[in-house]
Amino acid sequence: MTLKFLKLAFKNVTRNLRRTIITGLIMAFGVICLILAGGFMRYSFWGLGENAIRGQYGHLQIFNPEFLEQEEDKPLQFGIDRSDSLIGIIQSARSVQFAMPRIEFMGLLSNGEKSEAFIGEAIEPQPERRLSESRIRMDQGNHLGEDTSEVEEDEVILAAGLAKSLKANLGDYLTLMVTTTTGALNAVDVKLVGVFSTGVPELDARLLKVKLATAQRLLVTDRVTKIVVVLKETALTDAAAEQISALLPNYKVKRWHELDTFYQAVVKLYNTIFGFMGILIFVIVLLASSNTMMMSIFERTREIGTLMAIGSSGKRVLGNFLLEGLVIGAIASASGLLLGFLLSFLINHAGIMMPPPPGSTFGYPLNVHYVASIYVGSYIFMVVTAVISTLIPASKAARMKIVDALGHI
Amino acid sequence: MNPLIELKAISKIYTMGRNIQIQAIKNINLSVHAGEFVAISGPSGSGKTTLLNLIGLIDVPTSGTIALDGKIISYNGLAQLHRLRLNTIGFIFQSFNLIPVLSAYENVEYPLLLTDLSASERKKRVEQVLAEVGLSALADHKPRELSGGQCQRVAIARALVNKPKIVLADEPTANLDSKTAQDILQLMAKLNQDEQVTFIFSTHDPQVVKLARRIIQLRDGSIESITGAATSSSSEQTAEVTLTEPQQTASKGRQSWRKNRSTTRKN
Repeated sequence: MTLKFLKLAFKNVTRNLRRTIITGLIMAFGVICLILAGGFMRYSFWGLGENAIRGQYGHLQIFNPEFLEQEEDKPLQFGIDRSDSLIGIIQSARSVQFAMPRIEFMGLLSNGEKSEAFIGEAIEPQPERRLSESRIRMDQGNHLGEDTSEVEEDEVILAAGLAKSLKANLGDYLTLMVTTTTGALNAVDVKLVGVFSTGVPELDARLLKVKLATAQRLLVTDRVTKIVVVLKETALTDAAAEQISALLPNYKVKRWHELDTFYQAVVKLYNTIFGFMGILIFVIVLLASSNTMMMSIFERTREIGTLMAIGSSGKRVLGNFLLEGLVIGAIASASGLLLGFLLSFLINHAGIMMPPPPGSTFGYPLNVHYVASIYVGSYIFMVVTAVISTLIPASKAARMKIVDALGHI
Repeated sequence: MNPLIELKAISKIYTMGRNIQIQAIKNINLSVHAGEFVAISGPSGSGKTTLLNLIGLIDVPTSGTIALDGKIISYNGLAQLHRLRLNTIGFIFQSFNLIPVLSAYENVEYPLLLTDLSASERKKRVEQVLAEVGLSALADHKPRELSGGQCQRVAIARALVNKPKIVLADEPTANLDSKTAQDILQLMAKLNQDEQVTFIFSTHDPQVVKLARRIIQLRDGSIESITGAATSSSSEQTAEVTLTEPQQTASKGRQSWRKNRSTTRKN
């Protein structure tokens, strides 16, 4: 029987086809906006996330809990001992691709005439390259550990801004000066083998990288600051974090998005923008659809009176109009999904480049992800909006006095 | 025998604007028995439609009571009013008031969708009632594809499909030519006779009025006269008519009805 009323609703929405199409187009446009904005937002999250993972954080980082809770008095005071054995345990987890140690340190870099403060990162070149080679742009020279000369020297690669500030060229020897773990001053000469860019001007002005062994000798320690874990897939992050936490109960496991405050801020901002856009679309569709339904009800006032005179209850009249809203919403939203998908496809294949975002020097390709949850969510959102927009005029129709409705001209 | 419809001291006052009050119906007492074929006649503005609306429970009297089948109607229970309109009363309108997007079959079926009848039972009833009004062949036609007379037949079928006790027709022939009007009236009279449904229709056409067995003449919201006796089409027994206001001027209308009835039988 519901099918009969659904059929009636379908017939009623085709009475004034042009008006229904215009209302439907507004709804479809709303769905397209949600799909494109949502898909672009997800792409941005994915892009930022992968950049953060591949360029800096890995998927997980393991710390001595005290490192996160207290300030260190001396370098590596709350570092990790016996990192090799921990890495062995971590790599036994099925979702882990590999793990590697890192040291974070600070000091002064000098060319003999001028000194600059730096933020240093000591790494193991081989696994680091597996993680981020494609993400870090080498402006000049090589990555660490690629020098083929027989004499093994302490190498350094500098971010472009720091290299420029010290007027350092490839092959130059520079001096790293730091405070050791015991509080003494120490220095080591390093050979500049490469210059890279991160895309973030602030980092480019201060960042350098050396091999882990160089940093440990310089800082006089066997400790590392943290262990970086790379997983087989980003989607495994939460599960792997739980598993490793269980394997290493005395250590703290941090997921990449917990460490990346920039990512968190962007997600919050985008979600706010998306939410605001959703509200705007809701209001636009609500007004357009309500107006259509009000016009329809005005034109069919006598008919409403007739239906009530022959036994329809107010609830039935309300139900009939809500079904009409549902039919328009369902068809328009389905069209919106299809058009949104096609537009996403066209955008993804058009090769459009976006300008560099604030705080970055690289542009990036405009891309829209196909996200099933956004498609389903947009569809439900629009159908519900269509039904809600019908509710007020339909309630009015359901409360009409029969004689007044029958006398309507 | 209890009357099917009993109006006691019914008045209806409409308030126009702030202070203007118009009394459309003035203290009417009326009883209609099951199986009657009654015309409400009178000039425009005499209160015919208002009286039908009150009997059909689509309007609320300002004072007085209406009883259907001996039960006084309460206007507080909306669900009960819907049920009565659905199951006890059928409506036929001057402009047919069919749903334009539905076929003749679907228009007739609509009231049944509001009941719990099964699909097969609905189909049986719709086909039966469409056959009774002679429209089986046009069941798939939309109202715009039907003539005025055919539309009114669909409306009659819709009014009858729920097997109501009372069918109310507000100027059912006003939008029809005289030949079609005669056909429709004769169809209503035949259905009244065959189905034992009480018909009450309003009209100001003297030719149409002649076909009724009882004629209630309204003027300025009051019953001016009642012609004919309250008689069921099946029993032909004269039931007692409750008349409080006008005198009963019986014989003429009754004779014309008998004449008409014998014609119908011959047909």
